[in-house]
Amino acid sequence: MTCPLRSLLPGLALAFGCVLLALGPAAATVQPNPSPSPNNATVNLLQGSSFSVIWQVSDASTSATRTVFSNQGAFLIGGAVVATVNRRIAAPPIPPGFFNLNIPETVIVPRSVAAQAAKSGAPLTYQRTFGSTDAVITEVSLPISLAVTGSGGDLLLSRIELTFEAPAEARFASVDKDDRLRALARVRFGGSGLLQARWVVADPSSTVGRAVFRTLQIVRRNLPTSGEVEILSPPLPTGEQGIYELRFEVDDPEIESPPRLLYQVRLKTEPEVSPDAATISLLSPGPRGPLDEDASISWSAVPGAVAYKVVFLESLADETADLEERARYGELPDDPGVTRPGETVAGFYLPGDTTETLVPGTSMTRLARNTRYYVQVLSWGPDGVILGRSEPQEVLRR
Amino acid sequence: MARLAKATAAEQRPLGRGSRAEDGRRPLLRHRIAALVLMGWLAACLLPADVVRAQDWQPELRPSPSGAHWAPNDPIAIYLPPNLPIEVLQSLALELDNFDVTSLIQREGDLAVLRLPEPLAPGEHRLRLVEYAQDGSIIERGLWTFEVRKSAAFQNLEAQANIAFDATRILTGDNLQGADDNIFQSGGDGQVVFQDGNWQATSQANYLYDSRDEQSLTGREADLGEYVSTLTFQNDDLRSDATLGHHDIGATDFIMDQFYRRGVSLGIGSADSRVQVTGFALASEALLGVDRISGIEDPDDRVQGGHVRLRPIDALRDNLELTGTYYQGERTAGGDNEFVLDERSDGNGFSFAADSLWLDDRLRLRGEFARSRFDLDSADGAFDPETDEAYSALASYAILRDQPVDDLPLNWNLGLRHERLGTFFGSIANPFLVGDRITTTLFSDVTWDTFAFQAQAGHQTNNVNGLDGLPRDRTLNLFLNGSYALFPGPNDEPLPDWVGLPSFGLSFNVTDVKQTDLPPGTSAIGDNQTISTTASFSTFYDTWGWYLSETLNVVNDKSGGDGDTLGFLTGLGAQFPVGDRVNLAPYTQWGLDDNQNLNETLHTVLLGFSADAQILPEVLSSNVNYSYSYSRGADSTLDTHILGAELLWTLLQAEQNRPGFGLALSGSIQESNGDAILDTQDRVYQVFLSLKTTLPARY
Repeated sequence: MTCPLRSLLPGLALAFGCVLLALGPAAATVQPNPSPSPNNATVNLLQGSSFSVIWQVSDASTSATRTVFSNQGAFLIGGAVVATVNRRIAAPPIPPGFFNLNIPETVIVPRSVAAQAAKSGAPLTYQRTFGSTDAVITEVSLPISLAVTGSGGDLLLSRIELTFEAPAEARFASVDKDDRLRALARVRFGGSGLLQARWVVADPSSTVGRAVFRTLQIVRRNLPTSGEVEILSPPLPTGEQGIYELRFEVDDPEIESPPRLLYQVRLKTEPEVSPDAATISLLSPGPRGPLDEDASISWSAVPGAVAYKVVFLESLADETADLEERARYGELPDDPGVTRPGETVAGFYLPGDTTETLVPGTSMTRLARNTRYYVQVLSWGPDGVILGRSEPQEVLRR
Repeated sequence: MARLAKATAAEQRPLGRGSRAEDGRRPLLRHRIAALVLMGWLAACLLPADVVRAQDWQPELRPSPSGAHWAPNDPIAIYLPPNLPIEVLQSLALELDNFDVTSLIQREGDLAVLRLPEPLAPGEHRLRLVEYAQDGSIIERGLWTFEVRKSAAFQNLEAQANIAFDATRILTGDNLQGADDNIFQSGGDGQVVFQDGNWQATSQANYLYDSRDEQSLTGREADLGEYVSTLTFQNDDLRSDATLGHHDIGATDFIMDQFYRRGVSLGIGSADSRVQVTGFALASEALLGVDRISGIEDPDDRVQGGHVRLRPIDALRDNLELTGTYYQGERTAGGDNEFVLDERSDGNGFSFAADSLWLDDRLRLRGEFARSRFDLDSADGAFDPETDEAYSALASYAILRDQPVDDLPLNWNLGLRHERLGTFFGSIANPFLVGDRITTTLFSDVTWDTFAFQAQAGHQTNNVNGLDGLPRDRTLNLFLNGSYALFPGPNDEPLPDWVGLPSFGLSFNVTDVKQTDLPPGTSAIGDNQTISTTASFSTFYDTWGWYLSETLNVVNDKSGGDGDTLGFLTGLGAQFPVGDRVNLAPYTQWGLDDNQNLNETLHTVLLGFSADAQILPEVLSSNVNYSYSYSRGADSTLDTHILGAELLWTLLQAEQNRPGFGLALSGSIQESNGDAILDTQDRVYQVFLSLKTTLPARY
């Protein structure tokens, strides 16, 4: 976030510097500008927080090349130090003369500090003391006022975990070429605001050398109050054998290092069902047609079949089959894309000269009324080889 | 509770007397099936004078041909009394597991012999002979369970692995200073299953190798990814599991939820699932690689505890479940490849929950109580641990369940959920849980064929513990989500060709946050209202389809902080064939984010496509992808073009236990151009030649 005061600060700094110079020759004088930028921030009680600040310091010395630095930051509650940050920050060395210096810092506020401030009700501040390596050191302290919030305040992210959607929760996947694959980002956040992020991927045609990340999808998500959100990736590319690297890049609010996943794609294995296997056409019932005691199931004959198997599968809600995934994989028109076949529920076998049948009672009793199932027909040859199969087709058990 | 619900759908349809099977199913159907199959048998049966009375006879399963065990391809033979009345024979049906196999029965002497066209899977199988009585009921004449074994030594042993290995040579490129000319990569996974008697052992693992350690999973050239091994014992009374590796023990409560970590667990319970006790020790964060191989070596980064699942009343075994979880542990750092902004912490906690189904499973009642002790900076930090509590109550009722409306099932579920999490409630084993809230939510869920609609309205407040230095926020939320796929049934009028098969989606979310109590001397900083809505449409024709989506994000900043923002994001994509051998999928997104307070606007554009072509089917294929993206305005980024391509010559396609080989020419080029603000330019191109090998192995 950019503070509107920021554009005024150089002018103020210049004016302040002129005042210093007008006061006469200075020894080493480390002076603050009117305030750090920004001079206040919010921290979240529910999770660790971070904020960025630019310490604006003026230094005027005619004596020597020197460095303006700060060795330590401190959190104060009601004026008492409760925690310290032992990290040195410094500006690049400067020659004799007057300089306005901007020293950036990203401050991580431990949740424990925010909790103690919230319990006490006393003001929470973060301050640093700056000095100079010049012979004479003048120390100045710059405080930042921190407001502790629960669900309010600026959006901040405190945890992102990437996993694959299937196998569920896995962090490394090895799949066949052209297989479906998606990832899931679980994000814990505090405050509220607009999350600006991107799913980016490096393909094997670059990970084998210097990884080049292309954007798969832009993500914009309003995150209204502290909590958790799950963000599903678009379908991931699986067209090349090799190693892909996937990242969830967050542009705003900034995070230090994006989480990543690696996955490997391998050349396709010849399927257990030969590519020569026939495609059986299911002639009745029609797509999503009714199935009851009077409805026959019929299909196209497969030459040489010694037996057929008719299988009923669960019809599961397919949460992943969203519009983009369907487009990416070119779903067939027969598939409305809102369900998918699940586990086998029932089925029956028939001799190889059969192409039409009613559903036997033993199978029908395993199908709940007014429920959708998928039906699929498979055929076998004399040596136990699958000669053909149909695409699973949804039917309604009435 | 999902299991309870599932059981009601699948298992509450017994086949005995009084079941739905007895609803007067047409004798014609049964007779046609039975008659078709048993025709040969009946033709050979001469009806004797002393016909067996219908209610007296007993079938008999003959031993396996080998006598010792059933092999996967063994025929199954059943002895039937030779003098059964013809009307009885015509009304018999044979079921193997869930499959009706009546039509495959052949007569061989006095036996009815079943030969399946496919081998039986190793393990226990159930064979059932039923008779359809004249009154429509089903009489179970025989029920047998038998074991199929792969060999006399063990019931089953299966192993499979999929391994890929690529050897790559850099042909040309720039910006590759210091890169090796030859690069080797490999990855794969494997699984082993062993079964015998009451024991089953399974193990699976994956790995990755890259000759450049900076590109690997863990910084080591070759390393393990994830793995899990499970040993299971089960008999008629007992079931026990011991698991080592990456797994989730299945707890879903305030203390532990979706906690998939490397570690150890041991579970023991009754075979009927009425009692299940699990002890666990798991790493606090996600781990990859061989370091900390068991996940529990480091006591500073480990959680341990137990989980209990009970169904205490036998008559309500499918309707009442009690669960309890206890954990204790510490966390010092984030896991591999994830982003964590948390300091070290330790804690412990427990949870009790009761979940139940009533009124013909229409009414669900669930309650949970949990207590945690959570130290925000661990035991050696300056701050004391905090103890806090959480509880939740849920009631939902299925007002309509599979109600036929226009011959299609309509379901409507309505529910109310209330939960309170104390300000300092937290658990290392549920790291995404956010505490400090009292929430009441009313929700409704309607599904009717391809129409689905969810609605949710919630009220939430925080600063549950009433801390002096913390404001109290009140949040109101309304969420609506609907989808519909227009899919005509077989008896409906077909849609015009130009419509295709369309699907619609619409979601709407509005949240209003207001700070109702402020600490003295402070002003409201979090009052805002956010509105998000997304509308999407897609349609599909015989060979192609396209989609369009539009998202609107609005933030009304009521406390004068960051200011109002308005954002749009439009997505458009398609997928279609070009000729017989090329498939093309272009896509684009363009967004606009406007901060009205700062008068800043950010334009973001993404354009791209992917294409695959079968130049010579099964032999020569190619894959091309391209993307162009930039952001202009408040946070400008470079204009970036990225083109990647691969030309793959499949030398030999892999089969089970036979390696496959391919030769690939691949490469990528990235060009980034600066604009007025970012005056930089960068180009990287690289071209590679790779020998790609894959081996699917199976035993």
